[in-house]
Amino acid sequence: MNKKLLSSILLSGALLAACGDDSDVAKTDANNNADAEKVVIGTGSQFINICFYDEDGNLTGYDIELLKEIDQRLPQYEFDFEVMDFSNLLLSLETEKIDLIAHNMAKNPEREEKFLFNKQPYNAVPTHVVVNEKNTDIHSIDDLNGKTVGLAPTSNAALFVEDYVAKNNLDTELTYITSTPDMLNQLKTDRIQAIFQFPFSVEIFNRESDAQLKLVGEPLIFSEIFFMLNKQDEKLAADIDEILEELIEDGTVKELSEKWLGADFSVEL
Amino acid sequence: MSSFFDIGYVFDAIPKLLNYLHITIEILLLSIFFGLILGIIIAVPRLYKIPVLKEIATLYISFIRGTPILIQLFLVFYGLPLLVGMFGINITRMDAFIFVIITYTLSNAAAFAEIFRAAIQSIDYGQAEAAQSIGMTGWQTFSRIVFPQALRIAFPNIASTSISSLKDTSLAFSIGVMDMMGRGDTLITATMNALEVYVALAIIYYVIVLLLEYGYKFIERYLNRYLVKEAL
Repeated sequence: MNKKLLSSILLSGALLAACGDDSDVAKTDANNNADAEKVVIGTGSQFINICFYDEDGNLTGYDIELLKEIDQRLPQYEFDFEVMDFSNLLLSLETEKIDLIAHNMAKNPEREEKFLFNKQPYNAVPTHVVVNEKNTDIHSIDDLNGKTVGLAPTSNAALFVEDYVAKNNLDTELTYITSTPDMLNQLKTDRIQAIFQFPFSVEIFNRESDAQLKLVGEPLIFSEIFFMLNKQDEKLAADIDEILEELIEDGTVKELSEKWLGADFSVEL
Repeated sequence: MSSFFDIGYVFDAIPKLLNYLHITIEILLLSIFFGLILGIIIAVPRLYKIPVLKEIATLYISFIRGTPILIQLFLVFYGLPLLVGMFGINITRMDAFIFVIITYTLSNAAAFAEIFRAAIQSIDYGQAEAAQSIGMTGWQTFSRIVFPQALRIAFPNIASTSISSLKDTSLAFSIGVMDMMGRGDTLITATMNALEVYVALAIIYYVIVLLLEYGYKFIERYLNRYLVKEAL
């Protein structure tokens, strides 16, 4: 019996040793400059084609690939990606756990007061009301009276909808859902009647997962998308802006945009 | 994709999820190991009724029991760097994995402390007196008479606490430590096969728990080796 106990202890030790300390931070090996300043990029994993893990477990998407391209052209920096829940990103930037947020972020006054946005937008997308394709009674945001809608907490669309509902005295129930698949599922099963999305995401959801979505009404907000940084990192923001302009000029952004977003959004920039 | 449930994808997903099993196991083993050590330390002031320390330990245990582990995780992840920062040490950029281990250690320690306290108190005081009467020192009494019996009583509770903490490790992904559950979430985002991935996860978790239970049974039998067979 002693032997059995011993072997089970040894086994668990071996298991631990086998685990090693392979840090889960995805490193871009774009440049091996030893003096390069480390920049921690905070991003999420729930935004298909913007920042998500593909089926093989690689972090990718429009925001990720664009940043890797930028990293390659900025030898003085080395980008590391940290993935966390979307709702933790802003607090993590504030507490300087990360240096930059890449998560399809749009400007709003609250965010601008606290943080720095780079100057050159890298994406431009309209947010629409999105309903199930069988839905016939919702044609615009004003038809949401008496309905339940799903919002991603702390997202720009959520702030807009909260504000709109309050100003127009709509009797709309707001539910907060962090996982996109969950949100789509709730819409499909009519637990919620509307969500707020970009046309390119709707296209992807319909194609990839039979989400049965349709856009209704005019765009609610037309968002230019930026990276978010801390106020003191103006140098980094300026360096990124310079490369972004270069990438828009030489067609790299167009290429990435067509690949991940299904259309060239660089013309809007 | 049109079918509601694709049983084939469950089996496609299992190997992909198993690639991240070691993170889950690592979190579990490390937090139980450090939790046991800290748990014993926290149990001592309450057992020996050490003033002040006893009150601190009681407060600590009631706080950990009374707050959700997700909040404890955020308090450690964002709050601890502030606290340590006051002494001029910057741990803001420390690997998120370490914050996860700290949180689960603190949480397990509170549970283990109560288990130890109850187990040690359950040993009849007459035994300690008997040990003293044959000239054993305080430490000898504890390490040779009280502790081996207490461990036997505490073990089933420790085992069941550790099984339930296996299922808590999934929260680590919210601060960026990708364990098996986190990989499941990202797999769902990539493929939208939510139900299939959850079924695959359920199968894996259940098999691990069965293995753990099997292992615990052996350890328990070992700890009970001096009991008279009929009493079992």
